[in-house]
Amino acid sequence: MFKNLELLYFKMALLHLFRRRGRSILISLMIAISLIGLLLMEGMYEGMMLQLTQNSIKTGSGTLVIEDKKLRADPNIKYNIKETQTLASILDKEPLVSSYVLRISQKGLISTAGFSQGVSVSGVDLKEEAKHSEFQNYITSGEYSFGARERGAIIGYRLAKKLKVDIGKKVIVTMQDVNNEVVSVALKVSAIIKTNNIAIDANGLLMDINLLRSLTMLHGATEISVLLKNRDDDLLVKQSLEQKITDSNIAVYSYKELYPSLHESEAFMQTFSQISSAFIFIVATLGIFGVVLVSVLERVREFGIMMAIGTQFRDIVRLIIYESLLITMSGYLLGAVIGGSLLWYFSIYGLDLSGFSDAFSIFGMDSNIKATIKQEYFTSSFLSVLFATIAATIIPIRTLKKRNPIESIQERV
Amino acid sequence: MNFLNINGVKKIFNEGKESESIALKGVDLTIEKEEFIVISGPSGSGKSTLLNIIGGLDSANEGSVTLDGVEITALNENALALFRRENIGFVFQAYNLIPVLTVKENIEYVMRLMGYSQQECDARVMEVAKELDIDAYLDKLPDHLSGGQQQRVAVARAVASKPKLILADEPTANLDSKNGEKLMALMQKLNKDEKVTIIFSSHDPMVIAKARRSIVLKDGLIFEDKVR
Repeated sequence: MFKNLELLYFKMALLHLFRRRGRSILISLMIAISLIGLLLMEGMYEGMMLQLTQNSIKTGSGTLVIEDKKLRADPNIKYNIKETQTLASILDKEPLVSSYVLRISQKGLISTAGFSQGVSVSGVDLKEEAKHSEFQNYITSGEYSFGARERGAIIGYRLAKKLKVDIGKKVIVTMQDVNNEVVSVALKVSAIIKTNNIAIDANGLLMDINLLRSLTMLHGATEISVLLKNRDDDLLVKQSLEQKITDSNIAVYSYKELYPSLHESEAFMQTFSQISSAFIFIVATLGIFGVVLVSVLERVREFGIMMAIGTQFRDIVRLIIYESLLITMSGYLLGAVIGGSLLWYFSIYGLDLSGFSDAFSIFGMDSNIKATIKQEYFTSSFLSVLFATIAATIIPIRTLKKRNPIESIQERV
Repeated sequence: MNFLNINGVKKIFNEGKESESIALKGVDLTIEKEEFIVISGPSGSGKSTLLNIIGGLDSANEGSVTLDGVEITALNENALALFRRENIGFVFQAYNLIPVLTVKENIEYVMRLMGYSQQECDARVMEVAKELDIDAYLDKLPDHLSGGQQQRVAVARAVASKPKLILADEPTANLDSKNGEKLMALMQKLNKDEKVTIIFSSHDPMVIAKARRSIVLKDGLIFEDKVR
C-alpha cells in the first residue's frame, strides 16, 4: 500500500529492479567491483607514496634541514653550523616543529681487511634520534647502541653485505677533518639497519656524534634535521625560521627542495591514480548507461500506458532516476563496504610484497605497503557514481521524450 | 454546447515520406454527454486513430478536437497529461495494466495522481471492484489474472476516477464471446449508472449491436452515423 506518489514511484522502481534481479545484481556487482578497484588503487598508491616520503624524510633530511649555505655546492665540513644553541632555542619556540636533531655528515672511506669503499658517515646522538628518525625500528640485527665506549657503528644492510661484515666485526673509517687532514677510527659494527632509504642502506654509517666531533675537530653540526607535526606546513615554517635566523650563512631547505624527484614521483603517482580513476569511472558510466538504456527501451510501452492515463513526463523521469539511483547506490554501498574494509585491513596489516623487497627498496619503498584511508575517497567516488547515474539517464529519457503516448504504447517510432 | 466537437481532423502518418499514409481525411463529428457510441469500420479505416486523437494520445495534422469546452488539440504534452488524468478513462485492447502494481494499485493509480486520500481510494476501489466482480483479486499482480479479469481491471481503472469520457479501443478483441458480452453489459451499466460518455471502436457485431449510436468509418471518413 502506498501513502503518497513518491513512495509509489519508489516502490515501482524497486519492484522493477526485483523483476529483473539477475541484471540488477550484475550491474550492482559491476559498480561495486569498479569502486573496490578504485578505492584500493587510491589507498594503496597514496599509502605507498606516503611511506616513500616518510622514509626519506625520517631517515634523511627531515621535513626541513638547516645547514650552511655553501655546503650544498661544496660538501666540505668546514661549512658547518657553529651557533647550534641559538638555532636550537629558535626551534624550541616554533610550535609546528615536532622534533629536531643535530648531525654531522661527512664523506669517508670504510675498510675491512679485504675490501674498502666510499661511505656517508653521520654523527648522531642515538637518544635524540630515537625520538626523531626512529632508526631503532629499522634494525635487522644487533643492538641500537654504539657500545659502552661509543666506538660502535650502525651500517646499512647493503653496505654490510658488500663488505661481508656482521655484528662485532671491526671496520676502519677514514675521512678528512675540518683542516682537511686525514683521520681514521676503528669501529665495531653494533647494528645493521634496513631503512629503505637507498642512501643509508647502501652507503650509510652512523657513529656517535661526539666521537666524530673529536675526530673531525668540528664543534657544532653540519646540519639540523627538523621534523614538523604536519609536513604540509614545510614552507610556512621555513619562512618563519628564515625570518628568525639572523646568521646570513645559514639556509633552511624543505624536503621538496632537497628531493625534487620525490615530489615529482608523488605528482606522477597522483596523476596516474587520477587517470586510472577516470578510466574506471568511464567504464562504470558506460555500464550504467547500457543498463538504463535497455531498461527504459524495454519498458517504453509501460511508460506509454502511464502517460496515457495521466502521468506527467516529469514523473516518468523521476521513476527512471529512482530506479537508476537504487541500482547504482546499492552497488556503491556494497563497493564502499567491501573496499573500505579491505583498505582498513591493508592500512593496519599492510600488503606484503616481500617477494619484491629488493625492487621496492631501490625506489625507497617498504615491501609491506600500508594503505591510507581518507573520507575524500568515498565522497569523490560517491559523487562520481551519482554523476554517472544522472548522465546515464539523459539519453534514455530523451529517447522516450521524442515519442507521444500512443507511439510508446504501440512501440511505433 | 456539444460535449465533444471534432472539426476537420486529418491525420497523416509519415508525412512527406515514401511510406506516407492518410488515416483520417477530415472528420467532423459532434457527440453529446452520456452517449454510448461505437465507431466501426474495416481495418485501416481510422477507428483507433480517431479514438487516439479524441483522447489526446496522438496529434492531428489538421483540425481541432474540443472536449467539454477545452480544445485539446491546442494543449501541450504536459497539459494533455493533466487533462487526460482528470477527464478521460482509457480501456485498451491489450489491457495495458502496470505489471509491477497490484490490481488495487492499478485501479487507484489515477486517483492517486489526482490527489485523492487513501480512504477515498480504498472506498472507491472497493465499490468499483465489487461492481466488476474483481474484489477477490485486489492484492494480485496483473500477470496472475486471466484475460477477462485483466480487462475488467482495466475498466475499473478507467472508471475509478469518474472521468467524463471513456474511450475503449476494441476492448473485446482479446476476449471470448462470453467475456465480451459481460464486458459490454458492464459498460452499458456504467454508462447508465455513472452517466459516463462511452466511445468504443470495434468491428465486433455484438458490440456494434449494443451501442445506441453507431458511426462507421471508411477510408478515413465518416461513412455512416446512425442513432438507434
